[in-house]
Amino acid sequence: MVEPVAIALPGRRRGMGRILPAGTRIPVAVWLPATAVAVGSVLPAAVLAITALSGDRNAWSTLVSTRTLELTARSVGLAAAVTATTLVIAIPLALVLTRTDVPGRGFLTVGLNLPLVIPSFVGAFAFLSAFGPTGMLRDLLGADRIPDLTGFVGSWAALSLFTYPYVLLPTLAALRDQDPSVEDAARSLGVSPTRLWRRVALPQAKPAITAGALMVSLYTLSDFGVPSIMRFDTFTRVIYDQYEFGDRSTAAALALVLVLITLVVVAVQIRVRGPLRLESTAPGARRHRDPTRIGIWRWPAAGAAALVMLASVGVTAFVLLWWTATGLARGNPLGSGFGTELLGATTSSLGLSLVVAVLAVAAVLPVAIVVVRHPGRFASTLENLTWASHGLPGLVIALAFVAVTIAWLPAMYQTIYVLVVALCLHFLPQALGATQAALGRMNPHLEEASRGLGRTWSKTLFTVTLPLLLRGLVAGAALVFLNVMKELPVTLLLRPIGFDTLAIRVWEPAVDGFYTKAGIAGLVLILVASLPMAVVAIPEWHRAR
Amino acid sequence: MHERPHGQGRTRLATLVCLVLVGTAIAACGGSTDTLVVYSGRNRELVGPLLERFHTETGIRIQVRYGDSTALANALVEEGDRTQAEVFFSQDAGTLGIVDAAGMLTALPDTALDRVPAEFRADDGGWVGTSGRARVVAFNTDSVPAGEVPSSVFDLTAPRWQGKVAIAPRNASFQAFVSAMTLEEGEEATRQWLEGMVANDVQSYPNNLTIVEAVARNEVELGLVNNYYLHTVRREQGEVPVENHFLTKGDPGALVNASGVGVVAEGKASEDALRFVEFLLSDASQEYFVEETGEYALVSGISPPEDSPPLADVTGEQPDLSALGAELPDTVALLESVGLL
Repeated sequence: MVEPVAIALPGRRRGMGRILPAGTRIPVAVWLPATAVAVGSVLPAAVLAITALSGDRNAWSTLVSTRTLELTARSVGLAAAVTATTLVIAIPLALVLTRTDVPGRGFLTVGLNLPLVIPSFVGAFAFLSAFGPTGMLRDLLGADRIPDLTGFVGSWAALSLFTYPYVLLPTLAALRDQDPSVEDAARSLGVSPTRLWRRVALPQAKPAITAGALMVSLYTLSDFGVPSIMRFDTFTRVIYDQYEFGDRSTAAALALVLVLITLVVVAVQIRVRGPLRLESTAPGARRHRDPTRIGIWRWPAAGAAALVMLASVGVTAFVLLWWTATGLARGNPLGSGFGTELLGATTSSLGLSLVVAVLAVAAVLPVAIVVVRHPGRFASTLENLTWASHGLPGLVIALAFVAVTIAWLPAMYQTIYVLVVALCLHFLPQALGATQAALGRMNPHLEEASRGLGRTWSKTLFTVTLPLLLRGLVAGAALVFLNVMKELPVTLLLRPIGFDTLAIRVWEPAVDGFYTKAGIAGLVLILVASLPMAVVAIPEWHRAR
Repeated sequence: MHERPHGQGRTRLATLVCLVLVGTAIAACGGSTDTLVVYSGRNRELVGPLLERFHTETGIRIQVRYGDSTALANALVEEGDRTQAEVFFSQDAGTLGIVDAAGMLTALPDTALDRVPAEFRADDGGWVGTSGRARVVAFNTDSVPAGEVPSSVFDLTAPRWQGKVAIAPRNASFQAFVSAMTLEEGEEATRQWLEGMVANDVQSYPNNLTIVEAVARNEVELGLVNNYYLHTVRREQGEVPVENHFLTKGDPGALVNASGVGVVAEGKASEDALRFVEFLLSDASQEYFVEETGEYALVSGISPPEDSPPLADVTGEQPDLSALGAELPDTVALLESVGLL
């Protein structure tokens, strides 16, 4: 096992060797909330450590069994395969969507990011219904049985198709934010577009790409839905089992291993991405970028993008439509009040997602400022802490919050506040990646100029920094929003009694075989989520034209 | 030189206000305090209409926390005396046993307990069964003639069934069956059977429902499930080429488990909670279980579900259902050691 040396790793640090920020120039209004946020993020891991240590018997012996090692290898292998695949899918897509005149960019941008909102169990379900050994594809081919798509291959394919937007969304934001003047200049000197993309555009997007890759790997490590439906044993599955019918200290000990793996993955990501400050001239002086005309290649490019969309959102939407249509045609009853309940769940989902998204972005902003503007040991410690819990399955996070609220804040147990805080902490890293990347692309001289001209620190924040960061912040908020929309384990365990979200309304009937209802709720979930996606994507598209 | 954090303070305040407003708005939809709080391990789709009927008939408002039976049992134990729950309505006897063993269920009156046979209620009166679920072998009628389906689980290790049988090792009712088998046949016999199944390439599925669907698609030929899943699949998907085969009475594979209810209270149960228990044991509710969920009624005088033998013909000698909860850790260890978990 690799040592968790992440804290000492980050490369180019400038000054500030001390952990404590005393005597540095980080404003107290930044480091204090940043520290609070980072410490809050460690809470689930701390609860786990206590549970694991207070365990009676063989909690620690489980850790060194060959079975654990085998599961670690399977989980890490799956995460590596999925991450590599999502990079291969997302980077070309991002380039095509931001740099070329491919037709239907607005539609493709919305559609290609939509898998973000599909809960992984729904995706896996749909995938299996369509391509399983006895699924729809078999019926279409008229075969008796087609090759088995479960196990590693099925998990890898489903997870790749449903997580590539974690790379795509931040990369799109990064590529769009880049100052076009460099590329324009290079182009006027006759540099070919592909070389330009490789040498100029992508290196500048590296922080965004690696942050996305990190999210994909941690999502894969912590996901329960896909491996369980695809019948592939992973680490997370065993943690679930231990919680469900084993003892909690063993589960906690296993989950701590996941925290260690997370820290290693985060360290690797920090290494790979390099320095976050990549500003050229300011994105504030935004200019129009002419898309590269790729001529006849527009069509195969659009075709490839559409194919990815079809394989992920398309297949899921088709299967959900199929469930709905066949169920309604058969006259399956939906029960009285189904519409009202669905409307209520939609409102709850939207409200909850919006609140958590705004809060998460507000909470990570101080962390991002420290990490980008004041790199050093303190910064990398904060960053690592913020990520520490992100590789943990939602169930583990939720149980930590249950334990803490019951013990110390019984009045808050099963209130909306605890749910909001837990979801916020759970998805902080999603907001952090995008915010950090955006801040890194922003030229600090602009802030310094503002300060030099006499504006206060806070006024500069509101009139200069935030407006310039807006695109990155919106991308971060959008990621959190869509994640909350589809979240299940945390919502299930921490929600107030009677509080339903759309994701719950898909999950409950689906696991019990009421596919008509699940299909309708799933379609509503996808439609409702495409609205904010469209809001983010369509102005971009107009601008790009 | 520290700058004044006014601006940032303002945003944070603004978001906090925003949060509180939305939070209150969402919480307001929750409901009032004067209601009966039920933790239901049985899902909304199946029992929701029944709970609504209770409200209509009695005027008592119910708030339900739906969830997985085991997860809710764990939550109840963790919440302890701080729990809001007054009633635990669970999918299987084992989880009720866990909460009862934690001393959180109060003894029910004999009038309620006496409605069901002794094997379907707790000895200490902590819980009472509300419906019965028999373990059966679901088989694909296109691939397996009815006469060929084995009458004992012990026959499933035969070469004829290699790679053709599905089980759900993570499912509570499968685990209850393995626990019962251990209590009846001993651990060695149970281990040998499980190892035989693994050697015979038994197929693992996430749950009973996916097994019945896989049998319907002929992905596997046989599946060890509870009797009522076929009802759910038929109701949603129409006719499918699947039938339930009831094993010989007394076979370990023929366990009849119960879903049931207990009142969470220290000392005396509240009137509303008791009315809820009585309601579930009423003839009308018992008929609801037979017709709507495809389960067995536990109260006498109500006919069995469609195409099923009477309960008395299926229930043989079987271990105390309350004891199955305590057996669970060993069963999980056993399933792990043979590689099924």
